[in-house]
Amino acid sequence: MKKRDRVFCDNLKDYKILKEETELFKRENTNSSIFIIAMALGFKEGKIHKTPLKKGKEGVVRLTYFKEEHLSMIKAVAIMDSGLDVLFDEDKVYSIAEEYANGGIKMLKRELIANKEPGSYIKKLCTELLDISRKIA
Amino acid sequence: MIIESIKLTNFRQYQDVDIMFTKPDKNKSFTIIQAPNGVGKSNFFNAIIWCLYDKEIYLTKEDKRLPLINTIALKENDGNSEVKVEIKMRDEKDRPVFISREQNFYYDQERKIKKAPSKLKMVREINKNMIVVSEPEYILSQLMPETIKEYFFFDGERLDNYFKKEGAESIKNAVFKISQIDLLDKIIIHLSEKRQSFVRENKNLTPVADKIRQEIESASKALETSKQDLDEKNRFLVEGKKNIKEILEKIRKNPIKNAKDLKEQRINLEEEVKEYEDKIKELELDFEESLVNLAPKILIHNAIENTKEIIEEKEKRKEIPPGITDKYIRKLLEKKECICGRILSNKDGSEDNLKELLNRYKNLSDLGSILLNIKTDIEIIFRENSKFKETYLNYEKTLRELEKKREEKSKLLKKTIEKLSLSDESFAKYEGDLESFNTEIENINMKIGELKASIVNSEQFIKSRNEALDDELKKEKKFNLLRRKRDLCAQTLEIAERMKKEIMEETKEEIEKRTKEQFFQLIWNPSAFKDVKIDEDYTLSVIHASGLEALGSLSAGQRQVLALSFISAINGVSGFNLPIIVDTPLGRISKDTRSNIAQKLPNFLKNKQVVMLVTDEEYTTDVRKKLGSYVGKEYEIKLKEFKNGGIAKIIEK
Repeated sequence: MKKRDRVFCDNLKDYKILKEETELFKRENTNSSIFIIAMALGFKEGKIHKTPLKKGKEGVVRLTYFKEEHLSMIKAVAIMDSGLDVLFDEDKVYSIAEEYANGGIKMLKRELIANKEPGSYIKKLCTELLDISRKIA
Repeated sequence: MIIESIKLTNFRQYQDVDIMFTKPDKNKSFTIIQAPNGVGKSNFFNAIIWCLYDKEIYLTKEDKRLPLINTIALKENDGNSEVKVEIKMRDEKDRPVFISREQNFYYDQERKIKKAPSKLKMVREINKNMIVVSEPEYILSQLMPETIKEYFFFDGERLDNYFKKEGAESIKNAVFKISQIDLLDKIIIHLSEKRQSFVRENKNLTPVADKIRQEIESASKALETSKQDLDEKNRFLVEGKKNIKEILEKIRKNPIKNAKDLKEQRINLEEEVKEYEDKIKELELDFEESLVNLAPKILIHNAIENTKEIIEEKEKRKEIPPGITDKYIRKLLEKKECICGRILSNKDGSEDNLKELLNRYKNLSDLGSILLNIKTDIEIIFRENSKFKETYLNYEKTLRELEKKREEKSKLLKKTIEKLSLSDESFAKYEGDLESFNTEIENINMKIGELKASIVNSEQFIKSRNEALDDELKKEKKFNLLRRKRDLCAQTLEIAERMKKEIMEETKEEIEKRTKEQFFQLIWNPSAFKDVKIDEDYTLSVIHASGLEALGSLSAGQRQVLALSFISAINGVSGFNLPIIVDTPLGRISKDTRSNIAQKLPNFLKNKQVVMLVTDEEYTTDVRKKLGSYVGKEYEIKLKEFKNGGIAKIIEK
């Protein structure tokens, strides 16, 4: 079996739209950043938002393009999702990330594209992040 | 005028003749030159005429063939000689007048006689000095007009011509000349010409002064209106400028003087607001950028924390890092040596145990490596996540501060704009007024320019029309003067024509009266005739006692008497006091009649110098006796014939 060299998504256009039409990704507009935030959102919302990819999946980020911390985050999510031993299965690690990102990207589209009020989602996101942050403290 | 003497040199048969004439006084006035026919009476007569008028009027056929010069003298002088006739006269004031004419004759190469033009010379006494007259022909024509010569110098044998029709016209002309009507004629012709020229000149003048006056009046009115308009516009201009000054003063004093500052302030505030907005935007973008990085880390904080705990547990259990590496175990297996140094053997199962250990450590080593790899990241992320609140609050704080400042500046900007808007309103009003006044002044200036140009044009037009008017007035003056001259001419002409008519009538009546008187005085049978008349054409008629026209039936003697009477009458009214030179005065008269005429002639020609060229038949003893006491000098012409011609001498008796 060929070794995985990238992560996939259902629709690459989702990334394109988010990059071109939203304030959030005005500056940090790489596919890897969008993939990671989509994965994190999907993860935050729970396993019900894990969405397996369809057959016609498209490569969205080469693995080499991820920062080290992104790879660490992907592994952390995989460990949390499937236990420590998942680390012995690299492909599964990325598949878990892909499924969360697939759910998360839809949420992002819904929040950032459908809701046109500028900054509203960012506020909502920040509120959510602050809640989490308070719990950390 | 009287003739003192005549000197003939080489004139036909007179080679050298010099005779004195009788100076008339109370008793004597006649000079008689007697000669038989063909000796030279007529040529002596001709000599006088030639001297005065450059012509000979009574020439025989033979004389016409011969040259004027005495041929003997011409030959004697080698074919080059001169004819000269000199007449010494005295005028009314007894001043000497010398008249001479000379002409050069010569032979050409073929010995034909040629002549140079004759030369007339006149010398007169003027202011007791003898002066050579520069235009002798003219002066002579004034003293003795040629037209009347036949009434002073006449041939008695030709007196009958006066009664012929063709003679009447020349008589009339002579009468005009004698009565000096020709002067009036000249005046009339001159006046007519002048009048015509005045009429022609006036036609060209046709004054148009009135039209020009109207043009000037109209232009002057327009000029006056333009000047009034100009004054008014100048007043408007002053007023407009005053208004502008007032507005500028208001602008100067008004708060809107700060408008510029306000505008600058507005620009600065706008820039500041924009600057804050940019900063806010930049802050937001920075935050959003960091959010993209931070958000996933926080969102997966559970997973991060979980991984961190796993790593910590592993480290706690010393599973990380692993104490023995799979590489070391593999070397021991290759050496078949235990960690404690004894030989491994399949018999005691030590080698298998070591192989199982190798397999277990290989897995432990891979997981540990992975965990070790992510450990640092996980720890960093974990720490960052705990700082998010602080990061966010800082962001919020900075954002609020910026927003606050922006808000302050915005408020300030709003106030400035409001102020400026108010200022702009006033300013706009003033600017509007200013623009309106400026436009008005511009229009006024334009109108002033037009008016000035119009005034200059009008003034130039008026000046030129005034000049034209001056010309026209001069023309008018000239026109009126010419009209007056023309009228004067017409009036003078009328008077001259009336005078001419009157003088002609008077002259004719006078001549008629004198002719009649002298005819009845001279005629020996006056009872046979009733009247002598001269009609408008100066045709003479004698009325018989029976009342019938008798001119045709008059005897030669009677006709001679009538002619003499007529000549005498003309001579008498002429105003020219000239001597009478008569050739053969009594030639046609019968013996008895001659005696009667001779007796009456002296009284008839009283106070006149008379030269009579008579034949022997005429100058009979009886005639001589009757004239005797009146004759001062008496000459006889003697002709001596030669082969080449004759030479006549005049000898005093």
